[in-house]
Amino acid sequence: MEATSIDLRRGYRQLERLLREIAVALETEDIPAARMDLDKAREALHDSGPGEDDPQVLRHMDHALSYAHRVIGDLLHEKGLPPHSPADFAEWFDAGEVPFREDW
Amino acid sequence: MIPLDRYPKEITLRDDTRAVLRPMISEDADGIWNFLRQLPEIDKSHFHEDVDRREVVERWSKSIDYDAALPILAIQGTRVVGSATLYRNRTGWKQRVGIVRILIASDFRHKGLGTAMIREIRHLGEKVALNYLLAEVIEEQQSAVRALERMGFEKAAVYRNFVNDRKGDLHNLVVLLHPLSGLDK
Repeated sequence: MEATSIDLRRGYRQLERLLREIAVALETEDIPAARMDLDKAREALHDSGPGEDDPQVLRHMDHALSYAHRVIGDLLHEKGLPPHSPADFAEWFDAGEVPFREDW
Repeated sequence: MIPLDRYPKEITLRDDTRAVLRPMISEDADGIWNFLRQLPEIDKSHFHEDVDRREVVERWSKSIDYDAALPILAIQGTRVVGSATLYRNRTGWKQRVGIVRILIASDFRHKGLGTAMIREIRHLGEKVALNYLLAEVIEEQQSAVRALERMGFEKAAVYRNFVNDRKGDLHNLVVLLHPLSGLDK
């Protein structure tokens, strides 16, 4: 499936909002590894640029999302909550199958 | 000194069972012994000593030195169901490299415990300002390799027919590295 430039811009904004909310949640936590991952997520998102035509855009956005999932996992772990499954987010993905799964 | 004030730490696994994480203490000898006895043979390949001998485990439990090897245990009830150990050198050229070994009871796999243990070791590695974490895994242990990669470890090398199991059969060894924020300081 091809993503239109509108899809890409929408995805970029959603990721931007997600990272902003994660940053707020992380402010009061002492999880250096998560801060590092959040920085990487921001960097990947920055590389994707809003609505750029570069064929690498989707890959950068995918990386940003993966780092974001890792930070969410860290936050849940710190609070002793069960790990989230990316499948829980499946309804937000326009994909037949969520392409990653926790195995261990 | 590694800050250990976060322990005991209760975590919830994917199936809603709970486990407590805490550093190993000398009274854990029985628990470790039972845990090791139930591990698959392949998981015991990396030990330098024969862990099928009770006296080996007894000796470990009496010579705990958290600054050299910090074993974090996952405990459910009274049972040890996982361990993650962070090995460090106090001096020398690898003093900023932590070596990670993680073992999970067979019936506690696929519940997120292995990933939780990796998160814990990453946290400790950051707290003691390491530059890298290093994990060595036999290539057949694909679940462990995937979990480590998902948590930010990168395959640095695969050594073909490099290590042997306790029967003498050769296996490929995967070496994975995780850069930590100590590198930026």
